Amino acid sequence: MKDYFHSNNFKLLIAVIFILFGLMLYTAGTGGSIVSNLLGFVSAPMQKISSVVTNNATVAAQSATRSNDELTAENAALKQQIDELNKRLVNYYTYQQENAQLKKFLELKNENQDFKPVSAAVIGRDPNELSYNFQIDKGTLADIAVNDPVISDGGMVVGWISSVSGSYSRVTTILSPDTKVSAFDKINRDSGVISSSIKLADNGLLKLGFLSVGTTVKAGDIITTNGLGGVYPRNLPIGTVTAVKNEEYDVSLYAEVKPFVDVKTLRDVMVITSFKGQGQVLPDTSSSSTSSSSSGAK
Amino acid sequence: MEKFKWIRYFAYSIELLVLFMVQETPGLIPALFGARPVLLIPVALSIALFENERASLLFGLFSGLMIDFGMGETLGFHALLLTVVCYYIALIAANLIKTNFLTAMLTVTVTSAVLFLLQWVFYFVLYNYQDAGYVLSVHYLPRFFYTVAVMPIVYYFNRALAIQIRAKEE
Repeated sequence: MKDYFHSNNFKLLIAVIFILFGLMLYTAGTGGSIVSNLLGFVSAPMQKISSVVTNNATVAAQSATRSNDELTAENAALKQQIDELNKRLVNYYTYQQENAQLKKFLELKNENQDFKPVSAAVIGRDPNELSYNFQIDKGTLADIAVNDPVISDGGMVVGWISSVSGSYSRVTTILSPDTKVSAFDKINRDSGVISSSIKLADNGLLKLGFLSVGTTVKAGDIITTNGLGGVYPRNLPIGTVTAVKNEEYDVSLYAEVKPFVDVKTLRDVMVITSFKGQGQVLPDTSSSSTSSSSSGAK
Repeated sequence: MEKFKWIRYFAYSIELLVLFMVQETPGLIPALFGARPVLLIPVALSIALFENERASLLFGLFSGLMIDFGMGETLGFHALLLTVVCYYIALIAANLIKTNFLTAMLTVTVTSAVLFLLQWVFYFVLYNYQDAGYVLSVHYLPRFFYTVAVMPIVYYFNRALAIQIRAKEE
């Protein structure tokens, strides 16, 4: 036993333990290290290739592996969809006016000339991840910085950059409990804070909290960012309200929101590296019914 | 003879890198009950069952650092745990127990249970997130079973690797 404690292997173990403790303390304090940058430098290109190969294989497999029964079923489903769309066409003129109003807020390209977007591919999803956070193939070399907002190709909110390295970045999604976004109802302009929990995230839902008792938020309303806090630009679509419920521990209400984007299956995203008002606390111009917290992430 | 030892270590390193890619690539491993396995845990443990303490310690360290990196949290948490665990597994496998399928399964079951439990405590409970019990049963438990279920394949692959290269060594 005495020999064991004097062995070189045991000394090496103790030395490694001390070094790792130091590394843990350092990375916990700074959020990054040379070791993680080195690992990222080695693994990011390989992950990118492996993601591209997997995506191509998935697309190829989808068409090659489908049987006649599956194609017939799909045909029937499409016919049913056509019938439903024809019915919806009847209501077209009723919705036209509302649509014009919503379109005004959703046409990002026309309204947001100040955006500097960088497109990126999702290259990593860790099995230990609970909030569907992921890794993208662009980093500081593409001018991406921590807290930059991440959106889908269609301009819907996906999340924010929580850490960045030279060749890769990590995106904390809107489904993460770490994400808090100041948002408002596009129809009646009631404000609240978008957040989530693991349970809600598993059901693909968000929570618009801090709504007053007299809120006019209702199912079907569209929720967008309101630009407070300077992390997200104003008017980025988040999702639609599915239900309004009572908070468990106080008299306020919250709305369950179904996000427009399914962050669990995203393959490509856009990072807004610069926009007007980034990093600034903007004044709340909406007629908010409650006080709202700062925009963006923690 | 030294040459074959380094060939074996090189093969383990490639195995760890490839399985890390497989583990991290979206859509490559099918999710069961929403969970995907952490492949590097059974790999590090099976290497420890066939190698000496020093090599096991270093492969445990490497695997742990890769898991930490993939997770994007504090670097060193899994590295520290796997370094210590792999070191002692190699020591026990050389002196106390016989390396076979049963001991391999026992090793991965106990180690994975401890690792996931500590992960749950340090990365969820201590962060004061909601629904800790729900997360343990719905996320960590399926991941634990999936990770343990991978061990037979990894064990027999590494066993074949170790035996084949050792045979040439002798």
